[in-house]
Amino acid sequence: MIARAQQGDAAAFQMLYEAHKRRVYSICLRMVNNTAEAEDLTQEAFLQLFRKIATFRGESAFTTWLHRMSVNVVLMKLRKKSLPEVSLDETLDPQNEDGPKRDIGKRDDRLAGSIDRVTLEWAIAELPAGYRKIFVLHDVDGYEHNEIATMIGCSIGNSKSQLHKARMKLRELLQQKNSRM
Amino acid sequence: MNCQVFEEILPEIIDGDGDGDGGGTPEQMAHLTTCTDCATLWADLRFIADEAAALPADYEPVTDLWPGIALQLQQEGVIRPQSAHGEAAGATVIPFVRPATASTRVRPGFSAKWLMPLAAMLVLGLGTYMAVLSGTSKDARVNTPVRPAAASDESVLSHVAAQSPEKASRLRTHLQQVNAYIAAAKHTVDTNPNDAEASEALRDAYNQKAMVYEVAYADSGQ
Repeated sequence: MIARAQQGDAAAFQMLYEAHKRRVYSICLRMVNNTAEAEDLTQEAFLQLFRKIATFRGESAFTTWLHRMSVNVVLMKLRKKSLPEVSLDETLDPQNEDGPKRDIGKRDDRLAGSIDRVTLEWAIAELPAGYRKIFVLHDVDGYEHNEIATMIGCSIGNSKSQLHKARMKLRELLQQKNSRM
Repeated sequence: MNCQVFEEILPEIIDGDGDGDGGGTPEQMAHLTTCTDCATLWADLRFIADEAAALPADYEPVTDLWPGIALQLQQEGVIRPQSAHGEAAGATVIPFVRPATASTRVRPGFSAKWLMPLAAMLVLGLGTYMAVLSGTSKDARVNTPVRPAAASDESVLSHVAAQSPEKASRLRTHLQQVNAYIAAAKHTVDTNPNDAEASEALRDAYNQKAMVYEVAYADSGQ
């Protein structure tokens, strides 16, 4: 199918779109947390994919290539938008109201068994954009810190730090959600 | 090892080496066996990471994005429409719209696929057109449509214009749309004479036009 698409076969393009639209849209939606924007980014990702498909040589899996291209489209968009994000230089400061709270001394029931997928998706959507970006790239999409650092243009340490803060913030959100239930 | 030190090294060791035992030293990890708070924190963060990794990528765009993508790529010359026999369907570029429902989505391998968004647009337009007419539209829908060979666009338009210029203006728009649909369907059938779905699209286009005629006449009292 990829070979046919490389020849400009419209039907092959459409089959690729149908096969991968959910994956690409999910990437975009989780990163930007806005359905209309996610659709625009999905369209842009596929346009870029199809424009460049002739250069795909199969060194990596097609899905990996598509995934990376989709992420790059989203990151490019986020850079252009200059979304208010948590600074990459931000430290784990418990006094920072926007950051995750360090409640290590507070006793809570473990999250395991008390949250479901919908709740986790909700919590991810509630994350500040900067945290969400790193968290989705690492924990959902499976990128390593060195890859994220390259994609985003930060240090590996910053990527780790942001990820930790994102998880801590998620934990806080999930605990709050649990306590209201 | 105390909680403060453990928390400081937590970001470095939380993901560990993937074996679930963490990436800290024995001393660091031993702290988990003696501190419930840190053990809970550790378990929660691992749980969040594991659950996130298991989230499926199954969200579906609300809109069918393919028509827009195809149009853009076609205009850029990246893709060409394909017939069932693998031949280019010609240089005609048919304007795309996003189909309104999943049922109108373009199907892979359908050689008349370029007609479907146009047909969807036409159906939507006709729906709006009929909605402004008095209860005659329902009757028109259930009648068996006929190919409008006996009438012409101009004669129908003249007839309606005599009753209401405003209705004639709307009718002209819908006739333009249905004529474009017919032309596109004809082109596809000419290119692929054996394509049954293209032929069906052409019949549907003629039926749509017959419906426009019928509604126009019914609304004007004939």
